[in-house]
Amino acid sequence: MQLEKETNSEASRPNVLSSDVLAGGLFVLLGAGFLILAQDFGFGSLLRMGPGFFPVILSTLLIAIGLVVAVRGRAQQETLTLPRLGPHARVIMAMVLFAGLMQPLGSYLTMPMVVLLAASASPAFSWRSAVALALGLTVASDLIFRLGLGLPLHEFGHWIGG
Amino acid sequence: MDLLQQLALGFETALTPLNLFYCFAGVLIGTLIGVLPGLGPAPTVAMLLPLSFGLPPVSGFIMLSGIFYGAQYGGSTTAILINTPGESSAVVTALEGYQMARQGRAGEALAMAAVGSFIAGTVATFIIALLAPPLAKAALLFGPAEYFSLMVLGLIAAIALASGSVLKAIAMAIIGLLLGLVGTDVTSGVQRYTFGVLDLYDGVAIVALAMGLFAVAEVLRNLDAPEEGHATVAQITGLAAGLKSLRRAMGSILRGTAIGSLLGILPGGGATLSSFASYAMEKRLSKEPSRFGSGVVEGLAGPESANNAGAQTSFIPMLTLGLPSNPVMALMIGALMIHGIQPGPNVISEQPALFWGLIASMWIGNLMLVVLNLPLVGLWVRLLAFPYHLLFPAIIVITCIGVFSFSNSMFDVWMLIIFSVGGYVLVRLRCEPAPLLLGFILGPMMEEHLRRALLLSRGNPAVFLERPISAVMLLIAAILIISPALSVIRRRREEIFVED
Repeated sequence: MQLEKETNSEASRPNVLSSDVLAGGLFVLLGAGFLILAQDFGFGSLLRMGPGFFPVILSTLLIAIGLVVAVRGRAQQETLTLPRLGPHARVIMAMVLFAGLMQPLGSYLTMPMVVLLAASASPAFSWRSAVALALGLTVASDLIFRLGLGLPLHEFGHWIGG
Repeated sequence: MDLLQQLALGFETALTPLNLFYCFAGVLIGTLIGVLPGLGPAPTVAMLLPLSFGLPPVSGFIMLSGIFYGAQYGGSTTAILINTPGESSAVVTALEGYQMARQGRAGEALAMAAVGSFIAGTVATFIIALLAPPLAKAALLFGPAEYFSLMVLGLIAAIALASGSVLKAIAMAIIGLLLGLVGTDVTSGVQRYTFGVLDLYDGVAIVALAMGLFAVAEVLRNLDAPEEGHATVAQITGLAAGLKSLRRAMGSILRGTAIGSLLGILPGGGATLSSFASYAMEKRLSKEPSRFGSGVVEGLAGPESANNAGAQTSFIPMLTLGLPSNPVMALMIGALMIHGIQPGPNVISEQPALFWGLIASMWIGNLMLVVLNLPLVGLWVRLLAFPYHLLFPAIIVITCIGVFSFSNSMFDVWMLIIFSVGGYVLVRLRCEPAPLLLGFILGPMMEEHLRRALLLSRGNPAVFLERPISAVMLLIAAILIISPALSVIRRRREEIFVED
């Protein structure tokens, strides 16, 4: 866990952004979103529950809990330290590449890109091992998933005439 | 048919060369993947689910179960050797097991885990054979009110065992319930939370949610702390020493098995709750509780047996009630339905070969696990030496392919990305994802049973308290959430977590 306890007196005042305040706020936002959208569903009655009945009750409950969590969280003695998010962004981007390019470009070109980008998120990244891994995974996944399991993961996509 | 005849039918089914092969393949692949750090049973089963689609239902299901307990066992190996529990139930295993490994007693710890799991698996298998048929008959008496209350009980049990704040755990369960409602409402046909997106009409894909919340979020969390603590593999010595201290730990193994078998039957129970309860019990019974945390055999053998027994008996609510008590069971239900089998009280009578074959194969699979793991311990360790900076890109790629393969839909991969980010944010905010996933699984069923119960009672909500079985289950749920016993469990959990 990256959550650090505050020690010096200056920072030990109730912190506005403790994890509970943020979590509570998130619950309230989510609850409000689900509640607003549920208005169009039709609430119905106890005898004949409409499609909106369950969502309205649940999201109201969620908002209430969120408020309590947030208010109680103001007394929390901790701050959230944000880690460097660069590596995380690279992993997410790698997944976006997979989702976006796998079909139009095909697995032979997309897989190495995904693996290299994801691997570059680690401080222990080295080109040699990453390229080897990319090749290995491309071949192995082609053999296992396309040939073995018959998944529609084409070698070359329609962008390049596959 | 009496029990012996039924078991004979089971072994007849499970011992055909084909099914033996799939059982072995499942156990082997499950162990191989489960032993990788960060991959617990749920992502392993999710990833390998498509393997079963082309097989006959019985063979496919036998293989999936093999993958499940193989992965469960593989996770313990990782927890003991390099202190990276792949899922929550292995956290307890890591407490004592890793300490033993650091003292050069890794072989002893691994042998203990293997034998303990085998004994627990054997007992739990018989418990399933004995209890499931009468429970399935009892389940036929269940009306919608009982089902609803049972699910409330399951959710509350999951909340009670989440670490950290109860309120946040309840909120997570509610978010899960709401996410479970996305899609076409079965009764009215109204589109809920689909934003007109065709891919959402059937709801959110469970694999995308489970893999995002657990597998990818875990990778992202590991990126928070860049230094690699994974590479230190403890020395393995004294496999034989394990068999010697077995006599000392036999009591713990049997107690763990009993606790696990019992708690596994509860929806929402299963492996995690069992291992925590067993650890707490062993600590209380021990003459020297202060030594716990420094590599005590009892503290490893008990929970390790308990989690295996619990994992096994969690098949009971799935097979008799059609209720999944954990993500793996939800995936199993998905697999059964793809094969055209509706899980529920009728499985045992309509599919006797499947049910009894599965039970027989569980015992065979457990035997295979021991045979496989005791001699292969050295190999597992070499597999673990695979550096994490090369392992996590592989996890990412395999996760993406696994999610895609579930319904050959790239839309699900986009959902996976969203849930990965969301899961990481929630972990950072100290919210446990397990109640969310259970809520997601139970959401649609809970709504449907609530609706039917209220319709039958002419809109009178008191029906949940007027029907005795339902009232008892709600009462237990209420006790779980308010009783002081809970605060004792919680304190113990915090004690358990103190060291990290």
